[in-house]
Amino acid sequence: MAFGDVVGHQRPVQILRRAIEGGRIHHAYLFTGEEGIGKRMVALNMAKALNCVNQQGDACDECLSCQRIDKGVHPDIILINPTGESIKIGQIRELQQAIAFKPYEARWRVIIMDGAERMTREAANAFLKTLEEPPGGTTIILVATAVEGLPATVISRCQRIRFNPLNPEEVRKILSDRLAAEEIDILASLIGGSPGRAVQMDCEEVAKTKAVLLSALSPSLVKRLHSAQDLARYEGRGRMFLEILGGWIRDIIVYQETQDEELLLNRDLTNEIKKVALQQRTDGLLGDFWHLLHVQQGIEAHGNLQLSLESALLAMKGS
Amino acid sequence: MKFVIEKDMLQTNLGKIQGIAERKSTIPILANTLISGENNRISIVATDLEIGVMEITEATKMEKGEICVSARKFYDIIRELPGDQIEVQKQENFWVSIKAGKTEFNLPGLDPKEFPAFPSTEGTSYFNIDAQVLAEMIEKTVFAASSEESRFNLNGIYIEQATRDKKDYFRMVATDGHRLSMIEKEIKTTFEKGIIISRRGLTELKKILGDTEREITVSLEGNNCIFKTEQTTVVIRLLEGEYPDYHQVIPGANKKQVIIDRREFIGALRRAQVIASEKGEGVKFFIQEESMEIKTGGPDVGNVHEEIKVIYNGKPIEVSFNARYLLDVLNNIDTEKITVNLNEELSPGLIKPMDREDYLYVIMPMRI
Ligand SMILES: [Zn+2]
Repeated sequence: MAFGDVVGHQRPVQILRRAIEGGRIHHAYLFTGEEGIGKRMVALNMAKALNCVNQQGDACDECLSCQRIDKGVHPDIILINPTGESIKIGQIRELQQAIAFKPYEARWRVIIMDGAERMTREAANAFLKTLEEPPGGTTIILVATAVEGLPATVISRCQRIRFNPLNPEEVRKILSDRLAAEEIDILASLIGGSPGRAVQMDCEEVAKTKAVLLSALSPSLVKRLHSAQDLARYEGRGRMFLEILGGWIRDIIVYQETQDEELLLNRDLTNEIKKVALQQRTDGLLGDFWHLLHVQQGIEAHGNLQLSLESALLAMKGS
Repeated sequence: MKFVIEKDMLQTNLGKIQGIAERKSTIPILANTLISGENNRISIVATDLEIGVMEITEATKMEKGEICVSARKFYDIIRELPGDQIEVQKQENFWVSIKAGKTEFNLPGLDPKEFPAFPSTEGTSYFNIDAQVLAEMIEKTVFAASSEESRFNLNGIYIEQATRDKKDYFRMVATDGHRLSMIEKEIKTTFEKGIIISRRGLTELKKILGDTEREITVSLEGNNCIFKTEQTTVVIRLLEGEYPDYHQVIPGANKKQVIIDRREFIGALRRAQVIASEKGEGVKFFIQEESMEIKTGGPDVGNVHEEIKVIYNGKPIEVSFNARYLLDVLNNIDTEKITVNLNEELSPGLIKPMDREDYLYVIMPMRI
């Protein structure tokens, strides 16, 4: 894959290509943006473009350098990932030992630290030394979902490049060679602008959870309580349910206001959404939506999943 | 890819690369050896990305190509094979078959393309050095290099072209800030500027090439220093960074010169070390006409003092050094007598072999 093949992220790619073309490569970049939208992939493309034998400012995907980077065996393209929960000081020491040597074969040595916001405090302090005195011919790319976990001293030494979530069409385009259109329909409301999330999801599990949603719409409060109990048994499913519920309410409101099927996230539920949209009033739905957000915040704060699910389901007046 | 080779030859060559391929690494392919064949010669390569070794040897019935297999397993198999002719052949999916007599092994291999490229070894300009001289230079310097993790450039040995009294010297320097070693040989090198090579790099080089009788060709190419004989090539990746200016650490020779018998000095220091090792290795020396008193100790560890005969005719001086550092130095000197030049109590000591000018050591004093 080359810069030319990247879906979306026009701005970041443009900044990087210009840097290579102008020979003004920053010694450190900080890529920020949602999980799973392709930051790391763009970072790897940068490494390929900086070292490609055949192309100027992009990757050819054919030369030995491009192939080695794709296979993860290029000696000068160093990837650092969290081990367990965090990136630890030992990993930084290992990196510093590796870059004490001149590059093995690369024109540009590239260090890609994915999940940089998960550096421990000691790791970040040690890493600062490398950022302050980077060896020549080396560029560091920090990849992070948020800058919050990073010390200001680290952030200020990097050129920050923001990555936006992809739009639904871009997400579909990226997923189209891995998933069937129906599968993408099922997952779409959950993955937002992040195709990477789709890969971690079990399509069948999502479909099952959606089925629970439909049966939970019964007017019987007892049935709703049973649904909440069922969902709470698996934490992942319970959380997923609340997310699906949010997308469902959103779709009903959107359909009531626009009558445009194309704007729905849950295209697999188009018929059901249309049916409910005709019966319900928008203000009641908005009330449900706010309540749901409230419940979700409640889970983050104190985490009784079953109570939260019950509260969400019982309170649903609108849908 | 196919070749037939004498067992002994293959075994010897595979033996030489084991030390490099065996090093623990997070990159699995580095535990492999890349064997390439062409024109009735095969090259056997291993690398840990810091040090690369290539052995070239003759083979017959050659079909050009490459294989990449576990260095250890291949070596173990070759050692155990009967007979004296071995046939090695590439199979589907990077597998390799190894046949000798009625025995046949099949080993899974890896895509040779994934093996790191062996750096170019065609250095544009080179010079020659006797293998034994190079080994001596390495031995006499590396011990003084730092092993501290945070000072990577001091972990290396500085190698440069020096000129003194209109003569050209090949010089090696190592220091960890507490002691310094320097050796130079009258050789005209082709180094335009100094380079830093890791302590491990030079130690491995000595292991691999130290016992050849031949001349070694030395050159620089890209980020590597290349050491070559007809059969063996060792490529060592250079360290980044600037080496500190070591000249200012080396004191000039002066009047306060002590001549000491090396063996006697070593004996006395070893005895003092029994006590000194418990208190940071510090040992005091009181030197006056014809004698040196060596003492160390304290209320909690006991004490020792000893007097040895030296040649000295300056003012009395008292100075303290680290016993282990001194012993490291004395064990790396090969003359019977040594000279120690001192200046003041807290200035560095200059230690040299008597009547030799090609190497020297500097030790920083201790405050006790
Ligand atoms: Zn390429």
